[in-house]
Amino acid sequence: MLGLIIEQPDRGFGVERRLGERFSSARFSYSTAYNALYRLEKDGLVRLVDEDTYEVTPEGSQRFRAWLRAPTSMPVLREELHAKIALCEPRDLPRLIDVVHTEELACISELDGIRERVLAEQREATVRATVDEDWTRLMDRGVVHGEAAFWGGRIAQLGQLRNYLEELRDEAERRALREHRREDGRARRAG
Amino acid sequence: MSAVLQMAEVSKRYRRGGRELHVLRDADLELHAGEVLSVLGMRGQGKTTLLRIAAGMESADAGVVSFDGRDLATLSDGELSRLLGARIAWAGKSGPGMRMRMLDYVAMPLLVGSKSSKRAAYAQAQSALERVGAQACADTEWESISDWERALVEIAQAIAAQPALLLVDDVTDTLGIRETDELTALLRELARDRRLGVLMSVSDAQATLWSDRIMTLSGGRLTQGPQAPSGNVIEFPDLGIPRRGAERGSIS
Repeated sequence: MLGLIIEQPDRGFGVERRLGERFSSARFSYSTAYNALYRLEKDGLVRLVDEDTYEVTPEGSQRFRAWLRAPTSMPVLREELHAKIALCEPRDLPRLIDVVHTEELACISELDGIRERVLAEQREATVRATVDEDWTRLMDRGVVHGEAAFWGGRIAQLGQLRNYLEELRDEAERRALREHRREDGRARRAG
Repeated sequence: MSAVLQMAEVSKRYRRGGRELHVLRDADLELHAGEVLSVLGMRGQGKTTLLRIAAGMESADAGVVSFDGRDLATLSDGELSRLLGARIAWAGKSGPGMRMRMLDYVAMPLLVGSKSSKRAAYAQAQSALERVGAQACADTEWESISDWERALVEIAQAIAAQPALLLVDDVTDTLGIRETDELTALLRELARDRRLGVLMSVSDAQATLWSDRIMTLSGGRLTQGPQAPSGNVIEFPDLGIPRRGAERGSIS
């Protein structure tokens, strides 16, 4: 948020809009920018220059540079899907495959959304841009590629997982059929 | 928009190491002139097979593949090879496989079985190299150019004969962010400018960003995202397994 204000002093509404444009995959909620600006102002990191436009303070600028240079934190992998897989039984497989496939489609849709954004913003002009021409867009390209790689990796992993679960489902199905035939044979012999 | 390529319920199986591999299961696909369609999938998922079937280089076990409304299965080998040289083009990463100048490589398909003169073929090849920005590679050989230049040369060779369908097989996987953007944006420009249908297989999601549509290929299933406006989305199969066995059975 500080970075956005440093880029350009702005009103809460403007920051909210730019946050959505620049980090759409992060899905910030509606009031994120307003709440953050309130806290930043309270901490003396931004200040109001007129009735509703914020600008960064020297302390805010310093804090932002320190954050930029600090190492980034590792994301925590806490997946609801992983928990479901770990705890499912053979009879749950068909439904679980369905769940994985639905998520796969949702991820394709996310990737598709990024693609649409790239095309809508007409990045043709910046494809061959250099650092002195359009710095913000060049950095944005790094973010967009990171997001696409994330969804692509997830699509690949979910596809692989679906194939794996389908193999196991088929194996369970074959086993069930074998048992069914064996029981039938036993029943016939007994009859 | 007219469909340059149509695939309907296309299936393909291979036997490998005693196991049957279902590379394509009832794959449906439609590609229009001027459109770029990316097929995203990990290596070994059958993307190249899909492209080879689209090119008529390989036949499907089931289903129909049509180019410009003509069922490829009804064409003779001669007709197919003429199509592949002139109307359907392929760009991969294999290169010429022998020592030659890149200008000769790009001109090669124009010289083989073509009625145009040698001079015209070379002029066309030179212009294709210029169009993709690889004119500097004209007098160099495959071994002395970078992956980026190789990708450009492959595209140049593919577009030299002014095809209607361009099949691009995973040319971006060794490229960086800038190069991937530049190459895929170039393919988009070519598709628009020449009313060319581009079917591109990619293993990195970043290479799909300049496409008109994205499909994924995994476990033999070609899938399109739920928001896409056209094409076939796979139906989720009926996954019922025998209730009795499923309730009792365990996976071991």
